[in-house]
Amino acid sequence: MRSRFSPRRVIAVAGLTGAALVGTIMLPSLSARQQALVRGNAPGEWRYWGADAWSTRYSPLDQINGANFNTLQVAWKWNASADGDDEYYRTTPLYANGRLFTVATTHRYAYAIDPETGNTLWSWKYDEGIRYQKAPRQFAGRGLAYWTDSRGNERVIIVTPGYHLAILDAKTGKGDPAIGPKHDGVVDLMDGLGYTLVPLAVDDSGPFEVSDTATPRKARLGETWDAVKKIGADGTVGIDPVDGNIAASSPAIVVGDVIIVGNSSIHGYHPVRVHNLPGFIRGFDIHTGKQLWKFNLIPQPGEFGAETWKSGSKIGTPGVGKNDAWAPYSADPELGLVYIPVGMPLSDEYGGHRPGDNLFGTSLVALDAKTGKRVWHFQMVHHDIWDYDNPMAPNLLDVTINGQPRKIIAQTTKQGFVYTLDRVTGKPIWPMPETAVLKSDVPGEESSPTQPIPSKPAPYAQQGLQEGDLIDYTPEIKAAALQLAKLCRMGPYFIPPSAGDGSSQYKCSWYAPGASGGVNIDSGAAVDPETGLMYVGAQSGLTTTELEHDPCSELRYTQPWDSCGRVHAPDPPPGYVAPVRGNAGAGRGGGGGGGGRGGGAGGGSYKNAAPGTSRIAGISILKPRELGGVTAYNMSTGDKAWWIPNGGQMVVPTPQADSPDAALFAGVKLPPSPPIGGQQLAQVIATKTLVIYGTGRSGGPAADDNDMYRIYAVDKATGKQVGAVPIPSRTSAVPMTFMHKNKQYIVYATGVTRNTALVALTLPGK
Amino acid sequence: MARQVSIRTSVAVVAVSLCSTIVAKTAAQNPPPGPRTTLSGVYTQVQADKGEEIYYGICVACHPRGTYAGDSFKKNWGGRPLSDLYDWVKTKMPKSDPGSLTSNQSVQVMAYILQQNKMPVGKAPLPTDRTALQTIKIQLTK
Repeated sequence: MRSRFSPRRVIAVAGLTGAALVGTIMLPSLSARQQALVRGNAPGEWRYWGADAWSTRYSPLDQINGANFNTLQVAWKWNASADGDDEYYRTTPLYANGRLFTVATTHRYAYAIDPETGNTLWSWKYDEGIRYQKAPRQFAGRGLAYWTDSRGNERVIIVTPGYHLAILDAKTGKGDPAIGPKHDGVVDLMDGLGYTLVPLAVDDSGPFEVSDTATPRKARLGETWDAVKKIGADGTVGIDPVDGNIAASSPAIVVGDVIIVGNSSIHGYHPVRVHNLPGFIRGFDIHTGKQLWKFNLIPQPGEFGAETWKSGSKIGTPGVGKNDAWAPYSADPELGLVYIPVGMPLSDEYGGHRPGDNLFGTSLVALDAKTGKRVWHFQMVHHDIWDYDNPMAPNLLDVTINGQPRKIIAQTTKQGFVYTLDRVTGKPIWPMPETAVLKSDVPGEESSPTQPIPSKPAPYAQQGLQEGDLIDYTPEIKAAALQLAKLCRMGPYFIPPSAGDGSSQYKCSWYAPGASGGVNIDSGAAVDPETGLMYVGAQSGLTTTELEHDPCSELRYTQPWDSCGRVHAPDPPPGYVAPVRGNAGAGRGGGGGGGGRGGGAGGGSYKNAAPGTSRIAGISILKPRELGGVTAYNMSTGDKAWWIPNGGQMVVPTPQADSPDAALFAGVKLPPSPPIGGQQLAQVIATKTLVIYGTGRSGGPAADDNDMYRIYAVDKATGKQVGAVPIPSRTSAVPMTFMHKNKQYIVYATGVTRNTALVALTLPGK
Repeated sequence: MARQVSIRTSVAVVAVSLCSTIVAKTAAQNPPPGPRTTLSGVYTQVQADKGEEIYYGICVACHPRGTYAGDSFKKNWGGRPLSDLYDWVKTKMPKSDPGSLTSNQSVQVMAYILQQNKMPVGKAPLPTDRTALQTIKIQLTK
């Protein structure tokens, strides 16, 4: 059955005022500009999420340079909350052919903006009913996609939170009438996956929860919508939630006339169901909206890789789910390949239900953009039990290595390694030997005995926790740090999670990088086609993992959580009494219901600290190192070129004076450390001479006395800071830059909820 | 050293005495108050706003909107002293770097969570003093 929406639900809006105005800001004719495309992008524009199809995040512009960066002024501020609030604003807009395009609000509405004035040219809104209300990724998302041809046709492509594909005329914001059953440019992405769509209903008026509780359900016959209670069936159809949940958070990518779309899934922290929908990659015809091909990111029986699921890979099988490619994608239009960074299978830190390597989980997959056929794949993490989803578009680069021109692809990762491959063959550029790693001792878990470890480049984030990593300013401090370290399982990297129920040797495992990376959603890398350098924005830190059984989950283990009583959660076992939660414990679930072990009250001594404590008197047990921040690598050699801390400043930590352990640090001169805490994910782009970066939504130095933060510029050859412009709130997404009417602009997203905005910076004067 | 009472100290003593008198009279007129709860306005809007900024800057990575409010919050924290929540936030969060939030940041996040759970804003800020937090009970409904 096709998707059907009631008139109430479909309020596609277009509008507007733009055509005449747009006519006045057109740059040279499109056909002329088409001929000049470089990596799919017109020089000086930003047509892809990562600037170009290669996701270089590089612009050849140099009007803004080190000599004038500090004179940048705010040209305009565009209110992204005018039509509703958002989560944090994580969008990088596009600039193409004289217009700026963005998405905004939790509904992911689309907009065109005049780059000179910041005025809205058109907007597009789509009401998705229950599909939106229960969308697992209910926020503006990372952005949108753009397509044009040699005849002056232009399209903007959006993947909505409720999983629809919308193809709009970039000039007017109106849906392409040649596309979709309603001729409104909208294609239901839940269709075409092999499922019958059913009418949906909800039993509560709330949003989707982080687990797979409180989902919609299949509507009962004759069920209607209760507008007061906001429950029931509203006419929305979709995949039966019994089969699982599906959504999207990143834009599609366009290769030729093919739109390549994937999906994201729910978080895998503490699901209640032992199966979910798998990841899919599909190609759609830009002209018709018809699905051209589908590639299964969990190979189905008979397909290549199915044997890596020892208990079977058929959809619905216990343990089968996810492998969702939720990050942006990259492509090489000349090779006709699209590169898909794939996330991990269900669930994040326990894989006992899915023995095997679990292809194509945590892999980079190269597909033929026209056919969807796999050309090669490389799995970064076999049988992932660390939540090491590939979180970012891979970066493509042409460099000379050992005298030979090479086409490379570099995947930045949560786990702190850059995996550098030949993008034609998928073979490692530098040795990446399968290396023995620690074995899990969690009941039912069969961890992979080896993982590929890149010999180059050196990691940009802390790897595991070993004795040599610990602070050793005095013998007493070293002994104290070691005492804490030994409370959880240690190792060089890929330390398997431990079960907190006593069935493992340890109750927790050190986890570095943790699930936040390394590199994650907000950061990633820019690469410089002119110099062959790569600039990675990342964070480094130390955390722990532990597993427990959720009495109301079908999974044997998840992160500590109690799903009992939640909407649609399974019933607890007979006689189950909920424990008092939240006293301590290290589970990521935290305030929502994790933990359960005693101790850990604020201000205690390391001598009786709970396992997982990583600070003594507020001082991290990790030695400060040149990790996180921004790391530049020479991708011709794999060597590190330079490093800077996020925000350019090292911090000298101060022991907590009221800690019973403060005396340990008396008289000790602590070395400066990169800033830690929060999301220290520098958001990097590169230009002709500069690396420009924002600190991320909670990174870098605190606000100054005028409550201002900074956006920074460094010399891209040396890393030396050459500028820092005050901005009223931190960047919340990767910025972008473009030239419009002979002026270079830098535009970045900022803010949260009802205070989201795009801010444009440019040089003073005309 | 001879004991010296400064003018400022004297003023303070007088003020405390006056306050004590007022409190005593008030107590005489009204029944003694019950334990203080989060329904009595225990945080400021400024704290909640700062907490929102921290939440979206850090916490949202693991706690999407809605997962820290409503039934799940009530179930896990209802009836407990705010010091329990403080200990949790201060020592166990964020997961990416437990213990990295300052005391002020911790209570700001708590203020935001309280506001998200529809507990009223007050005039006095939520203290960072754990002992003081022990005296405030998390109560979600009257």
